[in-house]
Amino acid sequence: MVKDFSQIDRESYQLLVESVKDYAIFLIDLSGHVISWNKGAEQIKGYTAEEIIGKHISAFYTEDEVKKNQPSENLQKAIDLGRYETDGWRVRKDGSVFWANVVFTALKDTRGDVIGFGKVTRDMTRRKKFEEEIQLLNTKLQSQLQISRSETIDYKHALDESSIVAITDQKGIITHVNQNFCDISKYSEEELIGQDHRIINSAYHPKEFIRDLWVTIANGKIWKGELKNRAKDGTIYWVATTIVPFLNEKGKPYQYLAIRDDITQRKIAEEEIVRINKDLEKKIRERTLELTEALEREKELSEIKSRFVTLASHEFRTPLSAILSSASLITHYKERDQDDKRQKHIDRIKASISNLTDILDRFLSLEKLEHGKVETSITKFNLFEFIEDTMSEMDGMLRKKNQQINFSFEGEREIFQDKKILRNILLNLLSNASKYSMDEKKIHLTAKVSNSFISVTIRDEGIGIPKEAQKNMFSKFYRAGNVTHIQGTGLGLNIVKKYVELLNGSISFKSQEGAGTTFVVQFPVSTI
Amino acid sequence: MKTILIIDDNTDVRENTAELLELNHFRVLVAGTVDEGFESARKHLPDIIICDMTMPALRENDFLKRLMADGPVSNIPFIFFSNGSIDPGLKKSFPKEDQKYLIRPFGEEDLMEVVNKTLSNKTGNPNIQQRRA
Repeated sequence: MVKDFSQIDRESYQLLVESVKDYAIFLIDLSGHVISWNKGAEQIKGYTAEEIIGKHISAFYTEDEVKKNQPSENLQKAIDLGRYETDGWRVRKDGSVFWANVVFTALKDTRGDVIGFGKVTRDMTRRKKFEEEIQLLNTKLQSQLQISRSETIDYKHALDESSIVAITDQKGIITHVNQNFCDISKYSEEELIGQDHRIINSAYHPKEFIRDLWVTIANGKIWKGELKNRAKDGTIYWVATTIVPFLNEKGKPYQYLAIRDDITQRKIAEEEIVRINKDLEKKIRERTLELTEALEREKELSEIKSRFVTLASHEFRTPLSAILSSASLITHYKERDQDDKRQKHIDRIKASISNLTDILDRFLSLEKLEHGKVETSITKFNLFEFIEDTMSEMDGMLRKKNQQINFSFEGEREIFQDKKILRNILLNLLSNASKYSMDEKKIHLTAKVSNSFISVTIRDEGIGIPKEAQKNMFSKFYRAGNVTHIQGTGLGLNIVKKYVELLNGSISFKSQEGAGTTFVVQFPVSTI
Repeated sequence: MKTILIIDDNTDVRENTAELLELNHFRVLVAGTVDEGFESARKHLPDIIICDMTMPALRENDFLKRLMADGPVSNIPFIFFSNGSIDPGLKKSFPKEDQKYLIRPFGEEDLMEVVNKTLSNKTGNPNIQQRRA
């Protein structure tokens, strides 16, 4: 439109309009006929100025649009609006169509009456082609994206179904968990989202282990391992874990995807196996120890038995020999004046039988003691008198060797104890003192009664016990090396010790070979 | 009259055996220890030595070795009192053929039988047998 721009004259504008090649710019009169043309219009629509000027604009429209009265409507719209822009198909001279962007401008005179129209048409074909291509590409992309998305959803679904899944941001805050995660950790989704992943920490793994995990994934590498976690209710579960870092464009992790598998059962089974193994090993060790001990005891027993057999055989045969030979001799002494000889052998026989009986008794009492068949029977009695009585039982034996007992007593005389057992102990120790001392030697017996215990000391001036024999003195059937010529079963002290223990007492001795032996028996004062 | 030496550490057995032998017209020497026995054997050279085989001193003193070494004594026949088992070690140090044993307890008849047999062997009679009591 020519306005009031005095600097630019009408000719210049005409030149401008005429020369523009990219746009069709032309004038249309009120009735719709073309009254001007420019180079651009020629190029776009194909008509020369001579060919088109004076023709109606409906030449530019498709048949359909002409039928619909599109051209007149457009013009009318221009009149109504002053300016009307639209896109549509236009026909070229050669009949080909192109997509156009058209602007109708109503030209008015000074009074404001429309006197004609200005039209600018742009060929949008190429743009449309591009637009269409873009549209196509977009659609393709969309569908591919859809497929991808759908596949991704399927993958995600598969993952969610098969595994325990959690996603944390780069700081370790949980941003997503699947149902399996909730099931195994016993937390709800709400309780987990926004929490630090340490919420399921079990404090089982050492610091280095955890540090190594973080270093690995922070460097963008995948970490695989077994983790022990703690559920909401405090129970423990094990998971085989793969943590995959998702990297941003700078190659730094922005989130971590942890895929886990519940291996608690396996771990429990493993731990169980380890425990069972340890248990088994322990049992085997114990059993082996038991068996070894039993074997030792068996060996010991077998040794003792064979020692007994040897000893018994020897010990029995000697008195039996004496009996048989004495019996033979008695038959020789038939005369009256051989009375004393007969008597001597009868005594000898009796003594030998007594010996045998003694050996047998000792062995039997040992049996009884060992099988716990001996019971104590506590009575009140005068210990002083009791010891005197016991000593008198030794008279026969002492007279033979011309030996003597020196007796001294200290303390309370009335005591509570088992007389039978005490007698056995005293007789045994006294007869030992006599047996293992030479003729004419003295035996010293001291008894002390205090508030808490009673002690009896028997000291002899006999042959003593060799040092190397001393540790075996209370063993069954043991006889020291220096007494093989003196009759004895080797049971006496063993029995005495057992008797002393029945009284809750203790027995000990001191001895020097050639200088004598002292035995001390102590037992607590018995109270009923 | 023949002389018999008895070496036994048990008084009853020693005395009884001596008595039995005396009643059977033997002269009897007794010893209570192996050393006494050795001395007596050397001094009196008895016709027979009866010795208790179960005395531990027998092994400890090399008594038998000494006996074997002593010429005249080594020729004297021995009768051993035994308990039934014979110590192989003893046999080695006292290897005598036709060695006689009396297993305790023995009766008078057994004792006399063995003693007489030993005496006859000494004079050349080859009949040897061992009998249990």
